[in-house]
Amino acid sequence: MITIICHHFEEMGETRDRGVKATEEGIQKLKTAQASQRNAEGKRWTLRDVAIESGVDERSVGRFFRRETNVDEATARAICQVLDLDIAEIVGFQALSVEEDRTRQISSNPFIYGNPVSPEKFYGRQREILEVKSRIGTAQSINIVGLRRNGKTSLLRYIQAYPEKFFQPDRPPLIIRLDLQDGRFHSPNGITEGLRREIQRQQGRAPWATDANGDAWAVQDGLEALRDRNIPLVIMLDEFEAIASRLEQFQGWGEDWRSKASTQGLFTLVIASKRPISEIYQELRLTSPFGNIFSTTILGALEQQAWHRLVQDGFAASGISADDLEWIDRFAGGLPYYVQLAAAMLWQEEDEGRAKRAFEFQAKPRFKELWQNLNAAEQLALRFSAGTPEQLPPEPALIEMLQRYGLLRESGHVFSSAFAAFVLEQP
Amino acid sequence: MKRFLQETWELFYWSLCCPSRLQERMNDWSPAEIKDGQKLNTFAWDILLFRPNSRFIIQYLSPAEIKDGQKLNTFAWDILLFRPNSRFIIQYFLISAVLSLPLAGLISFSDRGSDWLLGLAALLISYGLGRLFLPAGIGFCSPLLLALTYWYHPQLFTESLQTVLEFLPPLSQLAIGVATGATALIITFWIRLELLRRDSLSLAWNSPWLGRGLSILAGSWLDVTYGVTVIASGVIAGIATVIFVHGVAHGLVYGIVAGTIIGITIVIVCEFVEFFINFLTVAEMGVARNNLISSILGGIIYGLACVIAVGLSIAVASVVAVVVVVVAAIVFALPLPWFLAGCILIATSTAPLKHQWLGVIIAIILAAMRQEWLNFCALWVVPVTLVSYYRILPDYVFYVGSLISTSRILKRSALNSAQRLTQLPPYTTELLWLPLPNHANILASAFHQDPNVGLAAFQKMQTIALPGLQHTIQQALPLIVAAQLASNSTTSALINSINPDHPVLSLLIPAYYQGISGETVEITADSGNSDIAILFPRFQQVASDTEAALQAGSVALRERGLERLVDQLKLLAAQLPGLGIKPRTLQNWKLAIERWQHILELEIAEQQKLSQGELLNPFQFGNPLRPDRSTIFKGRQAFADQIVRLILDRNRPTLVLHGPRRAGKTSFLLNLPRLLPSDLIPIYLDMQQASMTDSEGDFCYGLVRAIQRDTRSQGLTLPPLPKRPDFYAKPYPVLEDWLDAVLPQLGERRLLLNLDEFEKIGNAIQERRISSRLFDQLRSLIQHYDQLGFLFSGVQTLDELGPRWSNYFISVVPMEMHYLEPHEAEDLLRNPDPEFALQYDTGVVEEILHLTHCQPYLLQLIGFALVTQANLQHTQLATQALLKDAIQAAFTNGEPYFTNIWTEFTGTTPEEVAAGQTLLLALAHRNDNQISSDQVTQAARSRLLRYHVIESIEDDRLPGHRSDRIEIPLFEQWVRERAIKA
Repeated sequence: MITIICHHFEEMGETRDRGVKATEEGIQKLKTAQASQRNAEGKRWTLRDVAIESGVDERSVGRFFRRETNVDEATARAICQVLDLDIAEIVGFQALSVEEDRTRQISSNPFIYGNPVSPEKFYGRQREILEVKSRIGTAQSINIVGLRRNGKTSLLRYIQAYPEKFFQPDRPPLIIRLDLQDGRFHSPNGITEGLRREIQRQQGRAPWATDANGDAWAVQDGLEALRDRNIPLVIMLDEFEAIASRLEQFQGWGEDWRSKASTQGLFTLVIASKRPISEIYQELRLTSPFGNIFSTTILGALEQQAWHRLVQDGFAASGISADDLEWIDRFAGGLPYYVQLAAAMLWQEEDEGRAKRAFEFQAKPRFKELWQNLNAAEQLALRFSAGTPEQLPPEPALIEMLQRYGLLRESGHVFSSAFAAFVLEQP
Repeated sequence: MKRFLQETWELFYWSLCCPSRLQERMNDWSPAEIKDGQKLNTFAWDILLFRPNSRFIIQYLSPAEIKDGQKLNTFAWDILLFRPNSRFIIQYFLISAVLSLPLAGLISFSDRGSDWLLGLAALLISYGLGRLFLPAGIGFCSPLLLALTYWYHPQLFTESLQTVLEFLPPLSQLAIGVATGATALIITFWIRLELLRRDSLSLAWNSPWLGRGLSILAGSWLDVTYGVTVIASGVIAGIATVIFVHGVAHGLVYGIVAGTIIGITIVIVCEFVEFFINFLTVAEMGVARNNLISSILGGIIYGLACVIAVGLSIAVASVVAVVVVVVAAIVFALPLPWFLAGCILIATSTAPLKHQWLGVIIAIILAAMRQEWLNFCALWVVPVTLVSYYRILPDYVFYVGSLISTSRILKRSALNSAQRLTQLPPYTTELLWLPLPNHANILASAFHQDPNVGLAAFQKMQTIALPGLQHTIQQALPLIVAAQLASNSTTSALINSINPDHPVLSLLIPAYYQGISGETVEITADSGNSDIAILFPRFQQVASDTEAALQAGSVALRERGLERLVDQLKLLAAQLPGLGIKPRTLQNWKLAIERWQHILELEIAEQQKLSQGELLNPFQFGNPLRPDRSTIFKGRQAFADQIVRLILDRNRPTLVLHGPRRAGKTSFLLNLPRLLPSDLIPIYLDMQQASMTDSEGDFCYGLVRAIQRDTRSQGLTLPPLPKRPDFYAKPYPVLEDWLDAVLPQLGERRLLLNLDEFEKIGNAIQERRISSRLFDQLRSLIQHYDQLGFLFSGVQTLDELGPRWSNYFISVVPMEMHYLEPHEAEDLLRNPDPEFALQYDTGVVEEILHLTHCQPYLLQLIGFALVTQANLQHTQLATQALLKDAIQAAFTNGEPYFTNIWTEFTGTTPEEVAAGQTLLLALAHRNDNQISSDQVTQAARSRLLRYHVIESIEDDRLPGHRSDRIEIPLFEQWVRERAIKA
């Protein structure tokens, strides 16, 4: 499919270059960046993962990583972007064949898609930030829910970077973020060890010994000591679904941590997940009061004002017209990843027609991924909203839920015209 | 010329009153070398006469340096001629000459021409003392002292001179001695030169000292044929002379004085000699290096120069030494008034040395000298000397008078304090030993008028360690610091008070700023002014907290932070009189506190304008309310009273507190300490805590840990816990032993053991982590320990948990916890926090009470959502419209609660859950006719009724019939709008 799209991309008149090849040094950087990424199972990215994430054909990724033959520049750029690398550093500035000024523009594209945005480039989410602040600022746990690429990790990083915005100034918190995609955290003991290491790293001394990770009293004493020193401990667990498949072995852990986070006040939990914790447990047919202590905050579409500002800031030098904003809205519907992607394509291509094709090319794998993450009822509801004929109207509650997640607009239409087209294509 | 004369006058005045200013001039006019990055003070001998640098000479002669010929010449010129400052020397001699005029006048009236030597001696003595003591002008008193002596006993000098000359050896012997010494010096020179050529720098460096020493020793021995060294002979000669003139009684004391002065003279002589030697060495090096004839010629010149230098020096030194000794002797023989005048001269001129005890020492010495002549009248010497040395008269008395008059003028005419300050010490004199009245106030006032002038004066005073000025500093410092703090007018200025670069405070009290820049400095009341040590750190803390508060992202957080700081300042103001602050500064500190308070209040007002009063969200849902959130824990007193009654009951029943999730059971247990009387101590045990149910040993260990923790918070100290491994080995005996030891210590008190989420014990037994022996043990504890009461808290009753529980615990009283009373719920909504500012529009509170059915979790949830919504919409009034929005937000925020009821309380099997959800949907949509009456639905209905999800009520439409409805309207709305069937 990707190959076909590439051809389609080529046929539509896109300027093609003679291709690029990574330098020796660039290969090392690529491999290092690849090794630092983790997939949903907590394992290092394979070339296939790179291909999926970047929306590029796996064979092209292989050719690029092995320096066998040249790959086209768009492919190289997509791979570099997903690995958070500057293409000029990988292939060498001279190798970029497109006209010089355009290359400069591309290499300094202000829009970030694929990776979490840095805290200083975090836009909007006023309500969500207010809710998070009201919760964690008073040591109450929160579950940040949002579909893939809706800015959960970016928000966690934002909290970590600006604790003064969330906590009383006289009690600076100790914030620890554990990405549960990391295989090391796929067991309760692994999480305890991760917590221990991070506390040691930030405090300069270990709260308990490594071999005491399994000793509940030792862990308890270590955490109580922190609490008694008046240090608010905030534990952020990102990608909670990564342990969902093992949730049964986390049953006891969940209740213990619930007790620690609530009645004992040893720490505050911030859990980021695609679905609410209660729903995760429900899907696994497990009953647990673990989710009860959380407030739920859903990350849906960005406020219009916020994403407008994001785009306008990116186009600050050249300016952006109302039509262009409308164009981005049509394709992104305020969902942060798609806003960034659409704006990046518009920046890069400087033409709505070309940008549309580039957007569709880049977004298609993401749409696929999004579609797979929805349950049948949600897929049906989206089909209905996309205009599938002879489809029964979904429950209003379901429509409302999809609206909260940003997949449907207030009007009931699918958030992106490109996604609507994708939905209609689905069997 | 005018400037020259002014400088001359300043040299004289400063040497008597402002030695540090004179030192500054010496440093400016003849800069000293920089050593280890620090500029050293210029010594008097460096400015009055250059001091050739021997190290330079060695460097000059080393082969490496010789290669760079150009540089050497410049260097030599610089070294040899840079140091002396002819302007300074001339000014010094001019003053000495002027002060010698009285002596010259007296000599001119006599007919002894040789007495003019005395004038020369006066200049030399003045010069010698200047070289030793400048910037203290001790040398300037010597001509006057000589004049005084000469006036009293004009012949004594001549007589003494003759006497001394008789001691000198014949001229031929002198010549032999001088020639021998000179020859030895020439040989020394040659040896040194040879060593340098062979690169033996160390030997070359040391050889001259040995060679010259031996040369001079040999020469002087041959000259006088007795004595060990010139210095020793000088001292002995002085002592002998004094003894000869005045007898043995004062010989020793006089001898020391005379010997010291002779020593000074010899030092000068030696330096003259050294100068000539070095000068000639340098001058000759250039030619001598490669030219033998030039070298020999240089050596001869050098030798002759030495002969002349040594000969002349010895002659001059002898004369000067004798004069000094004789003068010292005569001074003590003066009539008392003249002697007192001499004492004033000596004390006044030595005062610039600023040594604390020197005045006393001088007074004692002078009084001791005088004792032989005047007996007790000599005691007059002591006060006169002390008054002069410590500058009480005329300086201090003058300034006191001046300040008393100034304070009146200042009050009348608001005279410029900054200007007035420059007319007082340390500007006019540095020698202030006693504190000046009102000086501190003038300094503080000057600071207020012109901080630059004030700071300059302050720093000047800091460099002078005399008690008078130090007292002024200590008195003024708290006034200045308080005034500086009170002078802030903005928040940024307030925060800047802790900035290490603060232009004034960081210089005034640097110790308080060193910690800020990373160093750890312990500041105690002893390390500085006690008022400052007590208060300034608190101001620093407030400034630091203000900075932190303003960095908070939320306006409400900023406001809250600032409000707390205002409270702290109010508290500090109230505590101020009891903190031990000096009464004279109390008002100033109070003003500073009030000023800061005012600034922060203005900032709060600004923040409120910015945010239109963003509210702090005090509501808490999800987490149980710990005792530190007691302001939002409302009601439940009736439950607590019931518990007390039951515990005191003779049957001592076991209590089971049950109720649906989120009903507030855990919050109630956590807040029991303040709800129960003090003789009933609640102990909280969370059975969800993994460590509690890992094993029976862990349970027992956790139990005693909790007892110790909760009794400690009630102020009781129990025996230490047994070791954890002991519990693993024998859990129950160890537990009982400990309880047997502890319970008697409680006296009349009882312990109420609250086992929260007690169902987890059953789970642990089921999972075989613990055995059912635990039940036996619990029952045993209930039966045999009268001081222990048990309360099990959970969702279910014991009967619902099965026969295992109900059989073990027989005397059980269940207590169901559910909704709050309406007035308690309203109190929660209206008064969750003392600072809570949200206002409710008419009917809103009633609407919330109706919607939530006073369910605690939902009240907190709606309250939270309402405040969030109010903040988003920048309002402080909760209207019906706002409530509508808040309900939608609450449905999202409280999703776990609603989902939990929807999935867990609708049934125990998937079929039951589906039926229960259908039932709820039907009730929510008022479709009663869709409700099935099948068995599964009825089972689900029973469960929903049991857990108060639905209730059965009298049907309005059909009297006598009952119908179901969802108990909590808010949940009903959620089902209607958000529930999605599984």
